[in-house]
Amino acid sequence: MARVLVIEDNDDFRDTLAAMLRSAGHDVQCAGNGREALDMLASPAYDLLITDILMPEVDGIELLTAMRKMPSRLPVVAISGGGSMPASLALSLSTSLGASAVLFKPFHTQELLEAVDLALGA
Amino acid sequence: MSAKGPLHYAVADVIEHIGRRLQSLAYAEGLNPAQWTLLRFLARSNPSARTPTGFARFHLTTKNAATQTIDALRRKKLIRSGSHPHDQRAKLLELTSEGLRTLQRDPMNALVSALDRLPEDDLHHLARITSALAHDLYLAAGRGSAQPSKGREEDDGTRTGN
Repeated sequence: MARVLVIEDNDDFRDTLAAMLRSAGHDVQCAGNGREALDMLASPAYDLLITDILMPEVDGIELLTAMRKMPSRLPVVAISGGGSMPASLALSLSTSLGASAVLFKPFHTQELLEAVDLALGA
Repeated sequence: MSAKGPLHYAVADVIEHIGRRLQSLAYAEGLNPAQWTLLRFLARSNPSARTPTGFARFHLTTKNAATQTIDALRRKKLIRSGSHPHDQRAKLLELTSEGLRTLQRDPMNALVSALDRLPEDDLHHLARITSALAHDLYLAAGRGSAQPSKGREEDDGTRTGN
């Protein structure tokens, strides 16, 4: 079981992600954008971060950039379904900035859990 | 911020040349750049995303253009329809063995090899710089319209909740 922070601005999708992770036994907390997440990351209470890329306020790329300046490196799973930039670019940027695994929307529960295991090094 | 000088324009020019060179290299093996992108997409994406809609989002193109690219690669027998590993009802696109072999000759490998010759620190530095540049170019201009994909998730996004 891992302590997971999920960052997603779409309420329904965020709830779905959290339910998928909880069903696998993970302890999940959520944030609605990167700014909220950065506040929550001030305390080192997480083993893994799962973030959407295109979000208002602080987006996933800005979040990953800010995280590179933090003393400890959390494994990250980045997710994107495209939008104002191609999903290919959003996820390549995430990998460039240190994400351990990337997922294109839509994805199956099993695909999410495999990405989580990959990021956690399981 | 400093005034824009010759160095800014020189670096911009170099980046443009790299893009143009890659675009030119991508007409290889009888394929065009979009067709190479589709092969890469099918090789690297999670299975549930391997649909025409998924490719359109991946490549930021229209469904119609994505379908044309898919049809072209079907005719070349580089891709085919296959079953979802976790959902037998779903039909997904997948690479054929010939598609996999073709991808090994991906013209993008020329750039990947050039990057592989960089010292590791330089590669990480370049990753940060190119990410910042791409983020500025694509996302900053799209602020306020960054959410259209969210509204399109209602049909296939539900698979995420399976």
